Amino acid sequence: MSPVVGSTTIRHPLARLLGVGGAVLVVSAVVARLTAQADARAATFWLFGLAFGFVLQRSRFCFASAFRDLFLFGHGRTMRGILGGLAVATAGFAVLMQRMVPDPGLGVIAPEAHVAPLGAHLILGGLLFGVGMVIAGGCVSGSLYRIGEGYVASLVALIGIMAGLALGAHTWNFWWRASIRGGLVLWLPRVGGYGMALVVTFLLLVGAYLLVIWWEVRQGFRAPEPVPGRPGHTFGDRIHGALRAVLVHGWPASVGGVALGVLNVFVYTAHMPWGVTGEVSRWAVGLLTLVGWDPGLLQGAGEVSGCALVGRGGSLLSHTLTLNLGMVAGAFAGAQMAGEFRLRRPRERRRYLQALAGGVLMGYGATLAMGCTLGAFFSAIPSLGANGWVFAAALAAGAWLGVQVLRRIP
Amino acid sequence: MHRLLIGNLVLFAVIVGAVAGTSAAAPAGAPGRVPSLVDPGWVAANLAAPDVRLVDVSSTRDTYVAGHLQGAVYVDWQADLVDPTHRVKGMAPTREQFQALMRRLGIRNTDAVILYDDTSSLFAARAFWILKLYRHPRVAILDGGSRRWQLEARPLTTETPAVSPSRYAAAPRDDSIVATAEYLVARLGEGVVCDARSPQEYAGLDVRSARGGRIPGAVNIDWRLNVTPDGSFKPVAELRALYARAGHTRDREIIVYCQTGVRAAHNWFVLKYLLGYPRVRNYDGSWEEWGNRTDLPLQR
Amino acid sequence: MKLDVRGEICPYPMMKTVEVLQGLPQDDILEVLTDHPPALESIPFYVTRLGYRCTIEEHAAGEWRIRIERAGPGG
Repeated sequence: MSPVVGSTTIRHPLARLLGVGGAVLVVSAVVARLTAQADARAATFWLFGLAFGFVLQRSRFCFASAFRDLFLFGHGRTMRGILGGLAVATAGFAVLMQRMVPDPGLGVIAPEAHVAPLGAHLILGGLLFGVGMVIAGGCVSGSLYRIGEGYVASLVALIGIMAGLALGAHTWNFWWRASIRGGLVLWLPRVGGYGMALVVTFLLLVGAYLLVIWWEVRQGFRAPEPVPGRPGHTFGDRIHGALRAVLVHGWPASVGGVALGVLNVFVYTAHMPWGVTGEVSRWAVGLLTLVGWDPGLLQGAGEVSGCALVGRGGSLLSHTLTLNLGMVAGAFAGAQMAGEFRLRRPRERRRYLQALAGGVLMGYGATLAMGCTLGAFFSAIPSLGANGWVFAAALAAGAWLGVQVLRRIP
Repeated sequence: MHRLLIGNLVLFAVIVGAVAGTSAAAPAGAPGRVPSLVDPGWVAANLAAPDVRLVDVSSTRDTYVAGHLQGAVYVDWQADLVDPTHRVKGMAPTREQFQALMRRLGIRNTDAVILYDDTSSLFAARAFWILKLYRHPRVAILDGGSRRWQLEARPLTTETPAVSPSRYAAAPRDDSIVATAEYLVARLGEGVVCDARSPQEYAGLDVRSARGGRIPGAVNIDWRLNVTPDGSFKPVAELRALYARAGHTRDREIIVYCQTGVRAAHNWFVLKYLLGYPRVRNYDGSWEEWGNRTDLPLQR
Repeated sequence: MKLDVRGEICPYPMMKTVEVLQGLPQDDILEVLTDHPPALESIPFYVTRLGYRCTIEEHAAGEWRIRIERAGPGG
């Protein structure tokens, strides 16, 4: 529960909120049931999507703000949450990967692990993505879940992302030949076993955490005083308070981060780590093909893991499709329960332009990095790939650049 | 002018002689040996030999219909290479079923059978194992299959060859290349059990039987590790290092399995015919049997 | 003083709040009207550092009013 909203007066009776939530859950269950008839895995991923969307919405989780606010306001509230989520996911991923590939020296990388080639493409991708997400005010997953909350500009950002991915698809073969194909694929367990890979990853996570704290203190961090809420002592008051804490108030970023980390382990157990961009690229390439601007064969895109571009083919109903749609629906449900849903249009016209331009940068960056803040970062570091860290550093640098640009846009 | 013509004729004769020479050198004549793995050049040179029979074991009949090697007959790995009456799905055909298949395809006991597919020799290896199960002497796999054949710009045809039934007589099973569940149970912890499935199936995360997991002590070598991205087998030295790292050495008996014994046959082919290990068995029941039998131990 | 940042998303609600706070008279109270839930987390966090404290109340469905006032001495 947020410490500062103790005096909030909520005008919706809780019963009505739960009613909305119940209705959303029933509709979701029906969708899951219908989907399951066509594809059981697609139904499972629809449910995962709902959970991801709900957690993102409830904890107001935003990867863009995690990086941006470090530079813009000097606080790392969300970044600390992300680091917590990464720690949880790293432990879980390691267990899963060790079960699948007991001997990492055999020459196999754990299936579906987001381990991508290193190189200039990854750094450039991180920079472009970092700038883009700050200008647009949200990354790919942020845009998806905010669509569910009613943000019209996020829809524009998604269109920009698809345009960026389309552009990326048309230049993919160049990047593949120039940098990606020859890039070193560095999976830490292969170098020194799972133990060493875990030690290195946790040391880096702790180091990053300490760096954030040091930075916050340097910037004059002070925690807000908690404002005591209306004390409740009866059974009813306590339940009411607990429900409000979960359904109405925003969750602390640390709770959100850890919940997302746990969900990521579950979704990997079911098939693969969390990622959204591969599916969005499928939409982009599909639309390109419809309008006759087919990018043709994407060389090697099928060989690299993570969220690389997905070309044509495959059935429309895929589990990544239901995962993405589930995220939008889960955020919608969360927003409805909290009474936060509302169609929001920016009053300033230039915000649409920002969303579009930021989206294009993100889409192109995600092509080069073979993933977004999820696929190339939140799922890559727990996959024990060196690419996650390289992308994170480039993303931070890009966010810093983005902040410089943002300060000049009123 | 005349001199030129004569010169060309001489050249032509030399070429014809050379081509005839290569084709005569390898499989012609009844018991001539055939290497177990042949490349497209070898197949092109021997395509026309009367005792060389090409068998397309591609993933679907559509692939065969769309285009196949000259003279190739189609074998459906799901329908022709299984025993439909067996309680366990995907078991090798019985001797009678196998004999009937070979007769229908017009293959004679003395023929050299060249197998190929469109899936990195996955089904070709299964067919190879079945032919060896009934002791067919001359069998080979076309390395890289139809994919490599096409990459080398070699021709395909849509003509289905006319086949007249043969009088094939299947030999009794060679039990030295098969393992049963009971055989395995008695030797758990002795030899090496090699799991050719995906790491997800091996870990019990992708469950395709009543139970998920692996045979206790099994080592995972996903069959896809046997091939390069273009679908050819990796060089022998590389394969030897891969299997040695996983503890599969030639002095030990190795039992391979997967879900229905198809992917396992690929590892079996590598171990027995590319690396030359003497004692390699395919557990034909595989996880289809093991995972569905509650009396057998498993590991997750 | 009142500041309406409805329609704006992060980081603009906070950037504009900080801008106005810098010119806010000593004993005045700033009321920020927003429809962006993350601002309910980020604004209190940041203005605390500047020596303010705030209370939040829901103004309408999906709209909130953040009252920002100077923290007491020592606070």
